[in-house]
Amino acid sequence: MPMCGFDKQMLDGLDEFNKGLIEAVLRISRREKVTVEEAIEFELQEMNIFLKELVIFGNDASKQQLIGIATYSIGFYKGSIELAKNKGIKIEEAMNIEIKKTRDFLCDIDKHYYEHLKGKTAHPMKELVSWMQSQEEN
Amino acid sequence: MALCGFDKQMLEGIEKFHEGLVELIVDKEFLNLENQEEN
Repeated sequence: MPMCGFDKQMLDGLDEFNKGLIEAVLRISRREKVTVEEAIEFELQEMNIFLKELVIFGNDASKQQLIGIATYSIGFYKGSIELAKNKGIKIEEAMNIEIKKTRDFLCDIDKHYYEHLKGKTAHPMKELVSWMQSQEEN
Repeated sequence: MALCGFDKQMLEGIEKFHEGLVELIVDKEFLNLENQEEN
């Protein structure tokens, strides 16, 4: 898959990370004897508190990485919860679908940007986000 | 490695992602150099 913004290794890495996110909440669920949804809720609360506290941390590069990882993880869990609700499926199944959905979403954005926008319009990033919004609404 | 917030799989995923980022930059650097040479 020749991509310009994301290469295969990055997408494989995200897949692996997402699988780890799933394992983490399944483990919490087993250990704490709570539902997977409750485990996710617990994780979301912790990550949100972490993000708020992170403001005072001074190392800019590490801070940005941690903000990115925490925000990405929150997005993954939120997307999975939404999917489970909308499709009426179990959260475990939704999280596995979310892995593919995330990968496809990133591939689509990348493809659209490099095939149709970069070097072809005055404001490619602005148009990319408009296109993303139109995909969301369809 | 038994971590609570990050498990081994997550860390390996991030590592792979980073390696991909490096590859990407190396590719782009290469493309830029090629373009410069052509110009």
